Amino acid sequence: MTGLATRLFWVFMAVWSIWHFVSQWYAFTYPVERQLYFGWLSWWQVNSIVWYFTAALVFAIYLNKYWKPAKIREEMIKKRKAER
Amino acid sequence: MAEWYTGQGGIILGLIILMSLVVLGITLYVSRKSKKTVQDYVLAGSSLGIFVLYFYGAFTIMSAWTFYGLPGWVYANGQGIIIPWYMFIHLFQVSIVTILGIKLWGAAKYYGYSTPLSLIADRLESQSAQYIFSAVNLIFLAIYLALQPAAIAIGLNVLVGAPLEFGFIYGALLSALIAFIGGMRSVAYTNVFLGAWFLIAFVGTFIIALLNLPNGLTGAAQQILETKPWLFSNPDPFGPAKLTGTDRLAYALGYILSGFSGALWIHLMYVPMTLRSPVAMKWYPTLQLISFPIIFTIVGVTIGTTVGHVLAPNLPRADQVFQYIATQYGGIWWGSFVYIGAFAAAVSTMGTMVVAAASLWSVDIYKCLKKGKCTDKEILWQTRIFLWILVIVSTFFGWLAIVGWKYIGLPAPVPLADFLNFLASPGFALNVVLLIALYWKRATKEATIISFIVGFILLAVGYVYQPFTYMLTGIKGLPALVIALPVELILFFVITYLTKPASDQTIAKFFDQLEKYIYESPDPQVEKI
Repeated sequence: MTGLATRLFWVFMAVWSIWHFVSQWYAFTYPVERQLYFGWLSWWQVNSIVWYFTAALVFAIYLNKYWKPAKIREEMIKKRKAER
Repeated sequence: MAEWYTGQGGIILGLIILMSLVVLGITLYVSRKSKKTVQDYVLAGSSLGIFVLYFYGAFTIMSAWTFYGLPGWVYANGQGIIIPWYMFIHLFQVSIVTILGIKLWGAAKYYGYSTPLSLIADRLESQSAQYIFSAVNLIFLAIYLALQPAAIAIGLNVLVGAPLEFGFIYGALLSALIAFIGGMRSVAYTNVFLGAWFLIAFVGTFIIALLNLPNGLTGAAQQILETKPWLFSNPDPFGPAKLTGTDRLAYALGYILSGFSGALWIHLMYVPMTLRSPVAMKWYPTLQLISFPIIFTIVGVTIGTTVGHVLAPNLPRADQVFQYIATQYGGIWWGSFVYIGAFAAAVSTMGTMVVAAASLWSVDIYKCLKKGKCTDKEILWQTRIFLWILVIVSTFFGWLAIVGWKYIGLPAPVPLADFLNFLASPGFALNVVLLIALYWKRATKEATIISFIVGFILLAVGYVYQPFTYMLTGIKGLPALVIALPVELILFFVITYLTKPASDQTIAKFFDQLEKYIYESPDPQVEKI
């Protein structure tokens, strides 16, 4: 049975994909080329940086805390070390 | 007139030889660990840990396209459309190395599969599927492969006037030699060295460029905003293509769809299969998703748009922008060092692709033709021989597209970025049904094979006869993938429900048992943790 964390992770993946279409649409309908952040970063660059770092955080939390294939193997390593 | 290999040419040639010797030294050292089996040669014996994985994975993805192609593309076309394209690709790439690729890893470890397509063909209970999928993927791999020696050749030609043929031949020779001697293990370990050189050259040039901007980065950005604001827009409504309305939407849609292919580049599907354990996978996405915006979005894109148009305005060939800035503002030595960084980027990507492509022949086609009755030694030699053939064919294709374009009726040389953006990446997107079949029990061989072939035909027609998509839709500039991918997926699901699913035995092997091994109980006999 798929755990809650896994289901939430896939919801995140879906939302993350939709972000692309939404942000494309936003960029189509607003003159984003006129916006600069910190004096030099374009709208698309800032959008990209925020997007990457958020995704990095979610992947880090999910894979390190909840992802079963890694988790069960780490537990095995711990068990073996304790046995020694 | 002095020969190209004097002055800066001599420095570059010296650095190329030095780098080649180091890389070949690593290759020879690492190859001593090889067990001379197909799994060891193609998948590095499924033994890689997180440190090597980062460099191996990231610098398989970051190729000459990142080094020269991306800054060149945004210099010519603006940054809007390319950023969402590679973001999407990177999201799916980290997924294939972890959550989507876990099944590829499990099958390599538990059942001993040495290529993703041999696994998928067995899952579909069809050997003919293996021939078809391998042949199609070989075509697109060869196209993407052609980009790499082309970038090496152009860079060297622009820098010191070396004959294009020299760059083509030397780059191809070195990467083929690394793969020939040590297979995927050598490729992975040499990527650590090549990747480090790439990073120093790429980030170093950015810093040098910033120090040379007359009014700083904010001054440069203001200048672009006043003179060429379309460089910051999406996708270039006032730039060279002047797309508006539906045409612009269709163009963007084509790019987004080809972004899906990030999880489906066939040579990347080998990466999870090379890993020691899922424990090695868990930090990879974070490392990639933190380093890529710095390398792509901050350095590559800023150099191409904001910095490039101030420090190197009106270049005749956009692909030159990065190398031009490095040489002009960093001096001859730095320019040479940076060129070797691009060389390293190309060689590191080529190595993985060469081994993957050669195994598509030896394991997926040759072994099947012999009905499995061949020894590991025979397959290994088939892999080694075929990789040379592939490198020669791809290099010739790259040469035709860049140097001999007139002979094949092209109006101009093919821009470097287009080898991947327009040609190879949409082709890899067709693999989506293969990945679905790996995770969906109901998927059938008839549905997967037919939809894959139809998708390929539609894509090929769109490549060969450009007005094809316009004839069907009435929309200008619509990439063929926008037609091919939805048709492929609809066919796949419809035919799946009209045909019989795989046998219970196959379902048990690839779903119940494999998933139990991956998610519930690792077998200590199989997996030394």
